[in-house]
Amino acid sequence: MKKHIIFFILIIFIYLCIISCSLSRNNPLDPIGNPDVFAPPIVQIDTVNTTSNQITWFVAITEEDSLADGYYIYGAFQNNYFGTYDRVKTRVSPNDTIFDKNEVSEDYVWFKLSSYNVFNGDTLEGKSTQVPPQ
Amino acid sequence: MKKLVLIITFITFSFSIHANEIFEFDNNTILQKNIKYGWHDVKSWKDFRKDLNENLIVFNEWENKKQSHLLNCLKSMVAPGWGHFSADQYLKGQVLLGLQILLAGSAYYFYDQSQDYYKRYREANQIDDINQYYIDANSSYRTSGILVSLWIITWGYTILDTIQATEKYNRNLWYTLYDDYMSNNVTFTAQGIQIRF
Repeated sequence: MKKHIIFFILIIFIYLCIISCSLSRNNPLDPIGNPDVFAPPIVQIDTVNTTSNQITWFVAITEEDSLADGYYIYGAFQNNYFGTYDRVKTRVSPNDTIFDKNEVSEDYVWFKLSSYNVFNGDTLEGKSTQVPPQ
Repeated sequence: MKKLVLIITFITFSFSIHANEIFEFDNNTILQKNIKYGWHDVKSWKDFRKDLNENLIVFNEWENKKQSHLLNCLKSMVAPGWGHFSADQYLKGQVLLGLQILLAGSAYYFYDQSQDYYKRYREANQIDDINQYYIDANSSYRTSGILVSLWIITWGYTILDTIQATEKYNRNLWYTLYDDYMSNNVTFTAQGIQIRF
């Protein structure tokens, strides 16, 4: 009986050891694992100045009081609203917040925007925002 | 007076000698009554000796044929179920072997999946991908850990149960050998041929 109790205590100990283990967050762009890294601001569509041919947006200042370093513009074809989006343009200035749809093929109907920040040479991209249909 | 004393002494000794002569010699009188073993008379004692001799013959054979607990446990440690197969518990051995293969295989599958997600996490540069891949990797990793724990428990249980299986095998072996011995009237032993009537 005593041997059985020792055995089961050992098993529970091993079980707890394994359960308590988790993978380390060692991606250099992971804000949770790196205090110096923060998530890029979320892009918000400027619905007032956005037209059928031109998209205008802005970003809210983050807690770190930093604007985005640039923006990515993604496009998808007519039947691919929920599908794969191609990166069609990149804006490398935080103040360049206007996109003309004529810059890319007219096959691209749906668009998404996201901002990015550069940390030690690596680019961290933020959450993407869907441009509402015009 | 002296004659009187001599006569009395002679009569006393004469009665004592005579008294011893009137009782017949009885084995039971010199045997200590042993309540513990139930030897109430010489016959039961002799029967017991006969049984003991027979048991010793069977025991010697059993000693040669019985299985070692340690060896069977080592077999179960090396290959799950092997100890049970040795102890003639094939079904249990197959179940435990299958269970451990299933658990170990599943644990490896989830570990491999977690490493795949973890690789994607380390290479990801989009905030949603980073979070999602990490959650997926960690989830698979923990599932793998749980399965490994279950595998360890099953492995330990298999080893413990091997002791029971070996015990049962040895017990059955004893009964089998004893029945075989009792059913054979002629027995060849190291001491010679024994014929039982």
